[in-house]
Amino acid sequence: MTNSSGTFKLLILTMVASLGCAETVDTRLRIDYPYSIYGVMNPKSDTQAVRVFEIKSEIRLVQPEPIDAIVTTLEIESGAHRIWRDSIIQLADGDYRHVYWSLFQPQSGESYLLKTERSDGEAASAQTTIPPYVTLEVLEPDTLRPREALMPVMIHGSPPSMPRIEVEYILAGYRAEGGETFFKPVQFNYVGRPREVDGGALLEIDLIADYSDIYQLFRDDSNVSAEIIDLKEIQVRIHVADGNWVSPVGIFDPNLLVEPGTFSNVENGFGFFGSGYVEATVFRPPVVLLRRAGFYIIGETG
Amino acid sequence: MRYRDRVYQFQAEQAWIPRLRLCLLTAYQSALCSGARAAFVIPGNMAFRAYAQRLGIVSVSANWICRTGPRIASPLGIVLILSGIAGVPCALGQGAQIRGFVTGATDGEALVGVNVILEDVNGDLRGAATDIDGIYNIPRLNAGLYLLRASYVGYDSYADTLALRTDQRLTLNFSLQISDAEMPEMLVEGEPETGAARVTAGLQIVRPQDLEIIPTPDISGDLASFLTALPGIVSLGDRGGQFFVRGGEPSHNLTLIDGMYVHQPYHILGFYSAFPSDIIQQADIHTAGFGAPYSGRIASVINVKSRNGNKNGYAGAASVSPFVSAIQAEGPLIRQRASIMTSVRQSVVEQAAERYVNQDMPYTFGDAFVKVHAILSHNSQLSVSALHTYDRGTIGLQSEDRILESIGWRNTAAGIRYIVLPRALPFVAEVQLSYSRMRAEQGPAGAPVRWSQVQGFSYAANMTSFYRRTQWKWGLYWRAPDIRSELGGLYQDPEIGLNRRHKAGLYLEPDFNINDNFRARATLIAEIFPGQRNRTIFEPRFRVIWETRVHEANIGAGYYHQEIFGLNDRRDATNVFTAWRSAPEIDLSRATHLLGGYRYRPSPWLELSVETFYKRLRNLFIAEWTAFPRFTSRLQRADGRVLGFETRAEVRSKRFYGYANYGLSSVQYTAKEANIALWFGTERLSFRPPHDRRHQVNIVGNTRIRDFDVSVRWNFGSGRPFTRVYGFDGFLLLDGIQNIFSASDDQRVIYGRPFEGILPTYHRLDMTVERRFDLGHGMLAAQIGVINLYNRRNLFALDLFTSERNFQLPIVPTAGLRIETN
Repeated sequence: MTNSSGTFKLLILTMVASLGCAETVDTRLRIDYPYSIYGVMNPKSDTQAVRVFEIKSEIRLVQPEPIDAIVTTLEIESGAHRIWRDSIIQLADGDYRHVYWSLFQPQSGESYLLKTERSDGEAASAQTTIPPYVTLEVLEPDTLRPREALMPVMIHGSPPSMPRIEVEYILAGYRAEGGETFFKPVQFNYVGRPREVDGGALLEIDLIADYSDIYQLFRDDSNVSAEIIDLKEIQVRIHVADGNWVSPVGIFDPNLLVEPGTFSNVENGFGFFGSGYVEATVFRPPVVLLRRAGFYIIGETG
Repeated sequence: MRYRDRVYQFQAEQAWIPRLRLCLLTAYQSALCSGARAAFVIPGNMAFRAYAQRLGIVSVSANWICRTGPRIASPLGIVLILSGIAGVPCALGQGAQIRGFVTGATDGEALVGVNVILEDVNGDLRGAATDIDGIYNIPRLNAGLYLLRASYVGYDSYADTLALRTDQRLTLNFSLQISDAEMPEMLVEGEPETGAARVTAGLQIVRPQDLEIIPTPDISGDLASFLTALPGIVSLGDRGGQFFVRGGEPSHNLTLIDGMYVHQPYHILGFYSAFPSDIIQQADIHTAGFGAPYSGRIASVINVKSRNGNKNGYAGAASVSPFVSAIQAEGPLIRQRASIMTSVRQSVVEQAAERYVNQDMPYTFGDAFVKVHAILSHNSQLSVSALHTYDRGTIGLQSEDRILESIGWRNTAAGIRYIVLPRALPFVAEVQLSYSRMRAEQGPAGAPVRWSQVQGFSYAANMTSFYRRTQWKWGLYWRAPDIRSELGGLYQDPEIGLNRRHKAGLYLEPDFNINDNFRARATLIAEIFPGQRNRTIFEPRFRVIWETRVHEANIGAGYYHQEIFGLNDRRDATNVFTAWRSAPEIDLSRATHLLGGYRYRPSPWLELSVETFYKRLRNLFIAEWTAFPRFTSRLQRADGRVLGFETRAEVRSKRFYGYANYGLSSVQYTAKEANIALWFGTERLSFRPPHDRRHQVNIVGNTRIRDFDVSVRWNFGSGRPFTRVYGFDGFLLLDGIQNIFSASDDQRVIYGRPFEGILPTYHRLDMTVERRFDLGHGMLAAQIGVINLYNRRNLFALDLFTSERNFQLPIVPTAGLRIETN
């Protein structure tokens, strides 16, 4: 009787003690990916760089200390092997980042395998082919077509992708009070707009549509006059990139592409490693187009 | 003594009862014919008492005031008449009607659920029970003589004799005296009005005594603690002030007190809400299938009616505990005509409980409520109520790389409620005008990083009348919520905006009493949105109840919508900041409810019930998932379905009261935005939201051991889903050729598929022991208790960034004192 009573008490105590315990919970899923890497091989630059993030199980600010990573590139056709150097940069917000770099200038048509390897052998890698060169030519516009003000820019060559096409209007305006002159750049993204033609692609800059947006921008700013918008020049910058550099949703929306793996060519890791360069040209459209679009022409009134 | 105010006195020692009744009626009629005000005082009489006792009447008094002829009292009366024109046809030819207010004689409080029975000379009975305002209403009476009886547990019965003329509308108010007879400690006889197993088509009615048996670290009960003992209600833990009712989000719940909207009524510490038991007269908890006049929420309704306060004497109470201190006072402003009631509570967690609980408890909260209630005339009452609450605290664990921001919210509400039994019209009319404001903040007090506010006026006119065997409710309302938010700082897609969602609505709700056992209620609500692109919304709802003394079966269904809602990042349980937003025009959130229940009362001490429900939710707007380690105000749409089953058992005996319930539910949301395919490789992603608690068990018991009231509550909940994490890296948007040395980037969380992890189970045992001491002109109550008696380490939240765990309260001894005077 005494024994059974004692056993019962022990059972109760054990039960109460176990009730009070906390169960374990595993918050982490296993991931073998060692790194996320972001980089661009630029044939117009003598320095190549890639930003490397370790994939960690806890969120921590990047420390200004070496990380366990060796970054190398292999030029696939020649077999040239390079070990990149680590550097720690400090961004404008004070955070640190690891940027690996190497002094060389890749050539169009070359393919590179970038590998970021940890000391335990886990590695993330990505491959890119340097895109061919293109040239830009500002063509004569067809000024006879009524109600249109299209400024053609010919892209000679075969760019595999053009993830960004910047058309920047450099404008001069006047303050609403005092009449002081100021310069204002307004940028439009023409990505996806060039159409294929013989020998390349044709980009047509729609001055009328862009002026409408510019006018709205000036009108919304109470400090400036929207009546005088003088176009000084247009800068066209075309980002020519390799064939992988294509957003899966057509646009580069950070809220969509931030999801790991949605825009990535990295094997055994996340991020994107590509190649490309920027080709640019500057011009001022003919007065007849500027007038038709609505821009202010110096010397003309009304 | 003027004739019109003559008091008729009857010496009836030798009178036969019928003769007495006849005398009374003759005297009454003679007074009536002259348009006099008549009052009858009937001295105690043995024969009459014997007759009365045979009828079940303990004591007899008669005192009625009757005025004849219509009289419009005020411009408000004109409004009511205009609002009630639709009801006039219902009145035609429906015979005489008697209605009035029933109050307690001691304090003048409205008595809810008083059975008022009319017996005609043939012995035929007609009856009604008083509603939440103490109003009874018996229509369709033939002209003739009647004996009116009223009975209520704990009170002496009331009897009166009256004569009704054809189509007369008689307003008869009376008071019931508290019975001198010793009542049994627990109710064992008669039909209980409320109870833990008494759920009818999703509605559970709660009285203060129901709240007070739930052990809490306070000597008074609170609605919040009670809600956590219900099977269909999920809370994320003992802090945060968030309740999920049968699959809905907290912002899908409509909470009202005296008709005023309270958008975030629960305090940051989960035991407490803006509704302590001291101020509550009754709370109606609709967890599904609710009817009119409720609209604009798709999950649930909690409608609290506060007490009016003592009109006959002053009373007060003060209490202290390690968590909260409170003062409550009430009394007459004009004796028997107007009263005031106030309640103020202030948390003392940081000053008291935190000192002996081995855990940081940076929580401050409080609430204040005041109500003035006035009897304007024998057929109208007015109340003015105001409520203010505030909460501030920091939830979660601070770490080296994570600075937690404090979260706070304030509710302010004020409202007027006018009830009238129009002499000219055969309905009960209620007019409400209220203003509510809720502001939630994140960041330092006074300089928040972000805030969100919803405020607005609300007007409603509600009518109740009877036609044949049908009770008709109809009314109109106008609401004008105004939403402002400033969600800067770390929030993605900050939006600064003003959102007004004015709407006006009409409803009609006949409740057909088909026979003594069968009732059917149909509801139709029509809403328009002036100046907005929303189409007019029609919402049909219905409920059918079959009831006998032992059995009740019911089914219900309804269609609901919601145009404003709150956004939370549910992947972080410690972030309870709610950003209120307006649903896109046209695409309002919608819900369809279906439910069915059965209740069985095999004996007076046992009641059993089961209820099953299904909710289909459409166009839910939830925060878009993002791998950025911060909340986004971008919306993604989701549909949902909720399926559940609840069973309850309640035991009432002389020495023990207790109940147990079990809830089984399954909540599934399906996200259907275009980016789901991009992220997860599937067109529609179904997931269990974090409030999908599959199993819930609650056991509550209360008994008296010697002079001590002992209350125990154990609750259990299975683990809730959460989103697991692979790891953390950085994200650099390469939308063009960039300088890798200088481009800016963001930290990134590599989440797994949403809500595929399961948190540990939750269970806790709480116990309190209370003893009351009679001080003559007051009462002293002393309480000791233990929260989390076996010190279960229940998880409150996981910091997904650091894997650190944040636990709910450990074992906490508590004590409280309360002194009451009257």
